[in-house]
Amino acid sequence: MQKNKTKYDQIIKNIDKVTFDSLLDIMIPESTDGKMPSAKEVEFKKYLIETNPSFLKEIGSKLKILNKLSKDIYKLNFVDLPNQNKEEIFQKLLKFEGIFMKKFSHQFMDCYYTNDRVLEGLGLEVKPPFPDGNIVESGDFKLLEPVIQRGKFMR
Amino acid sequence: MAEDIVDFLVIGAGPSGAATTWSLADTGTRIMCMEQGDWMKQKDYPSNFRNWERLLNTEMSISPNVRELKSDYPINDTENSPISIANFNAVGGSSILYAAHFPRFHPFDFKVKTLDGVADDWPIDYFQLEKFYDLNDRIIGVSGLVGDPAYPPKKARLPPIPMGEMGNIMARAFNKLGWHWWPPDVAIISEAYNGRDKCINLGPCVSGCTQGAKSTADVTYWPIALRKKGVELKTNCRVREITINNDGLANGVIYYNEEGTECRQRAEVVIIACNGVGTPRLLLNSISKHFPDGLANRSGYVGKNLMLHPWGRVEGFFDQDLKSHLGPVGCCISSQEFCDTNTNRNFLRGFGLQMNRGTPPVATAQEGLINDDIHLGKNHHEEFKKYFGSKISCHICFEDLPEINNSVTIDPELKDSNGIPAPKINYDISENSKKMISYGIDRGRELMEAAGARKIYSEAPMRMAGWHLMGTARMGKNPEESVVNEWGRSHDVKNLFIVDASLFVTSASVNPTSTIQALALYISDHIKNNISNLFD
Repeated sequence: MQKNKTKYDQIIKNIDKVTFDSLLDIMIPESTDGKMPSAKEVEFKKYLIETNPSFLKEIGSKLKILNKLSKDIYKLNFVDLPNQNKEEIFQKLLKFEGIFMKKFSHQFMDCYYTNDRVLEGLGLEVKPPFPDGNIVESGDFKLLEPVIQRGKFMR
Repeated sequence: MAEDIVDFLVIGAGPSGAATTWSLADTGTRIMCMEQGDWMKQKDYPSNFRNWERLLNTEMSISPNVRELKSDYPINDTENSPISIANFNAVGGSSILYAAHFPRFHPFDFKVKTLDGVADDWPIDYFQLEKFYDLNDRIIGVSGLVGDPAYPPKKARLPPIPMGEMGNIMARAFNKLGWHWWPPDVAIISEAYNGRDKCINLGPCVSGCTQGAKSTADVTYWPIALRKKGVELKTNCRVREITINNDGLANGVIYYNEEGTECRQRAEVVIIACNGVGTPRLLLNSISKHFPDGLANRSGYVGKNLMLHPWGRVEGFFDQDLKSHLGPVGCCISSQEFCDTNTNRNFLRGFGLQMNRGTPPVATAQEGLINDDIHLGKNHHEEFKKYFGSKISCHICFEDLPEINNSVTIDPELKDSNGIPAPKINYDISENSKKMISYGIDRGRELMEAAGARKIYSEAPMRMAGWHLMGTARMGKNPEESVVNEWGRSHDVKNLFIVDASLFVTSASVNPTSTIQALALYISDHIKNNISNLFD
């Protein structure tokens, strides 16, 4: 266990935090009304350590690709680009690293939409379904009248 | 020391095994039930936790191949089947994860050969099962509304589960089209019942009910069965094979206990309740000189005629926030409009429509990305808002007819953790089913259009949807074309019974658990009434 922890600590250290945060911020920026946080604020790394630590290594290598794309086109590191250009490079990453980005996005949605601030921003209560449950209105059973009028119809 | 011999050994503690054990306890005999899983704890179910959406796709996935719990056995459902198998192995069986939609079969579902000239008639009919449907409803607690014109009259039940605004919208759409709809029978208690608290709309019913309001076998039958004299439930015991004596009668089982030690249990009567995949697997793994092709398989029908109910869904997105992600996930409206054969269509038999809830936040975002409706980038928040809480899902349960080539066999290589050979699914969708699916998806889209959906998606057959496992040891009067007789006793082995959905002759177009339990009670009743001459 300790051996694994050390291994992942090393991987995390190798992940360029600034570039990673910058990428996350492009993926989901803070909402204009400030209610929904930027993706860089939801502790995605911590989430991955808990759920799928081996994925961190892949992220590290993709960040290098992201920076290479950025340098090839704009001669700058990703973090140094204006947002509009970051957006463009990000779209290229989605295109060239499609399979990885699908996996990455899928996991990221699980992390983002269970974050306290995100749920609050959506107007949801930050708690599991149990024990309070939910209120759901019963519905209008008077709408059954035409079905009852029609009567039996089976063989 | 003399060998311990029980009177009845029931294999499997799911819906049918639980009902059977409870019923047979009236005999005052010694009854043992063996279950490969353990008791579930309500405090461990996903709805106790913030990350419940993730847990229901991992630890509590409907697929044993995803869960890989100690209690699970692997199923080869990828090589030769477009539909993968769902089950759960624990006290309560697959009811732990079912949505608890609890319709009965219709009277016409028992007479398919007579009415439509295909498949076969059941050796029993609706009205023979009716009192057992009623008994089962009373024991477990069922919500719904009497007066459904699609069925013979039923006894009073608890009030329906809530439809919510999404239900109102769909009810109006059904009325606009002139189609039948009704608040269906649901095995979820809408009011306190028999010491259990009512449903509080937690939502993720299909990952276990923390409230205990879903009428699963572990919280309904088992507590009352275990209070009866002579009943014993042994958990974490996986049966490898049923053994027979020199006369070709079952005399017990060989099983592995929790520590993995091979053990033997003797019994006067063996009753199998392992579902439409587990039951043929057990029989086909029970090889002997009397039964070289598998126990009780002189007909060659063990494992054949597998029916899975190909499943479809049509999803509509609406302009308003319906809060459709809240409420019991299963069906709040069902329609029997297309269940029966209509000679104007180009297929026989039919399908049922079930209105299900929308999706919670994580699933909304993940599906939105897949559908290209929600994107990463600066518009993400606006796009998400358009799709969250606005989805209504119409699920479609298609009746598949028995096909001899659709089968459960034994995989030549795959084995479970005890080294027991695993089942393999061989399943193809028939031409009749393909035509039915195409027609049914069109009706689902028509319904969503009538409801005013702004965007509609459809999919069929869904892969991860093999919830209903039926037909692989079917009942019948002719020993050459069926595995058990009209009261569940093997034609070949007179002290061997089957009580699960393997027995089904045809599959109907509705969910099977209500019929599974009614059938188990019917067979148990027959055993009780004929106990003095059971083997004649």
